[in-house]
Amino acid sequence: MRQPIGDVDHIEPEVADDAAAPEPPRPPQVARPAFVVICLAVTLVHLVLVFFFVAPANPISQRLNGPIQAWVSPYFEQNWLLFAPNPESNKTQILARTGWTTATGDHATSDWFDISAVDKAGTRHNPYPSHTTQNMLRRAWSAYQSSHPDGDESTSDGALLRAKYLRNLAVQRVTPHSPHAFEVVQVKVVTEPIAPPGQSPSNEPYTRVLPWWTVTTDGN
Amino acid sequence: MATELKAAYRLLTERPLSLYAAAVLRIGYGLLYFVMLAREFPHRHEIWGPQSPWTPDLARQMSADSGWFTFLTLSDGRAYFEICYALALVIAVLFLLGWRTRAVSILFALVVVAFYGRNVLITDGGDNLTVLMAIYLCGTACGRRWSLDARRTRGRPEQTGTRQFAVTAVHNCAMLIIMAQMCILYGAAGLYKVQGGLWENGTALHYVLNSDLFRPWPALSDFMDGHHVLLAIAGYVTVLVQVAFPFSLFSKLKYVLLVILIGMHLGIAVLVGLPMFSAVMILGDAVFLPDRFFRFLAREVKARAITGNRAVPVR
Repeated sequence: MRQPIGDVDHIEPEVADDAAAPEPPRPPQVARPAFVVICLAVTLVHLVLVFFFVAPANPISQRLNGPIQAWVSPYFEQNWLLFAPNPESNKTQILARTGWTTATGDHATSDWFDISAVDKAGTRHNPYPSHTTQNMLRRAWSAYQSSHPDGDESTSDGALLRAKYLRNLAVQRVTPHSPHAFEVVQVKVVTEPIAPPGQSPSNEPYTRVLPWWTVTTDGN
Repeated sequence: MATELKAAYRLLTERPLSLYAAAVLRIGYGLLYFVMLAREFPHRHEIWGPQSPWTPDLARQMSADSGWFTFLTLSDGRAYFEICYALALVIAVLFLLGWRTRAVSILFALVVVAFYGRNVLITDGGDNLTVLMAIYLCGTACGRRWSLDARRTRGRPEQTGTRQFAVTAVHNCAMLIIMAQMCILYGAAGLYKVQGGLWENGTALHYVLNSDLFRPWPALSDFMDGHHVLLAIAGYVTVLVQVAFPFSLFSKLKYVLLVILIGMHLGIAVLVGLPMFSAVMILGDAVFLPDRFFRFLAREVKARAITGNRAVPVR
């Protein structure tokens, strides 16, 4: 097949440079090789730093920690742990209930409402589920869990952001089902192990009840 | 040694390599991003809008910590958000069409980065790879083939000179980075699985098939789940192929592994209900296919179209 003119695939390599104009002063012959060396150096440095960012912690990545964080974070950050080291082996059910003060000054609460059921229903028979279905509540909970390993006190700014996010999400999903306007919301999570193949579940479901959270109008 | 160095230098600087593969990445990622934005259109406020449970304020605090720039939090106005969304859709289309590709590729990367950074907590590995590809593609000459730019400049003499030299060197380095990035991805995905007990004992896929959010076709998942031996084999093959992939690149074995990887991702797309993730990964694999393959494909398609339309045999 003939390539149209202007297609570089078959261009002769040795025909170079702006030949038409009367010879301008040529840049010194080191400029081009130097440029190529810089390009290659950036390429190699990038790949090495990304490699050690992705690799498990080791003496090299610890020593290179400064440059790795400076170069890779945030835009080249990456995480290839989908279903690794192990796929999730629990089924998670997330529930929420609301609380309010009655006219007589008593505290009242709603029943627990399953705010994760809508995701399971949204996945069923859906060839292309939305991120709101597969990732939103699932990741909000796992982000909360990993930032609150020993209790529900938020011990860092990041942990506090994730707690507020989970609260906002719970408020958003439970609002249409609350029998009453509410001031506080509570989340509980039931984790049930998936049984190994051909067996019945080895462990009982585990329930984690989070503290009551005060609802704010702006979600902050 | 000197001749090898010279050969490497010429390979890197003589001409931009894999221009068709670069064009396929451009068209593919532009298209996939457009499809993603269109699919999430009904959910856009919930995910990225001012009313999202991940409020602009929470996102700003996260960005202040991570240094991630997103133009979506510059204003909390609803109109601003809608305009940004519309522009994102337009830019994705311009990018896939290859119109003023260099400038548009930078805009495309800005958009992808902005939506990712606005709500990191809803992303998955597919979104992650899309960000990396959008950034890397800025360095490539991905608008040289199958683009409006190519159509516009057809018939003009090929540019030469210093600028062209620089473009070529940067393009080739960027393509090298994309290839190495795919190797790092597969290598890491494989090696992390090796550390997992469930992949070791061959039952990992059983748990995947039983995850509520990743079984859109429960009957199909249950049927697959009934075949323990096959699942164990599939799990082992997955790990082996991922780990082996970077080492296969210098032989024809890579085509065998690419076919297996693509098959694996098609399986994930349907069975696990992650079509966008799978498409993003499969597209990344396209960087390893040679230009003669894409030209062959294009010729075939053209020939089919002509014979189909006019019943005239080609040549």
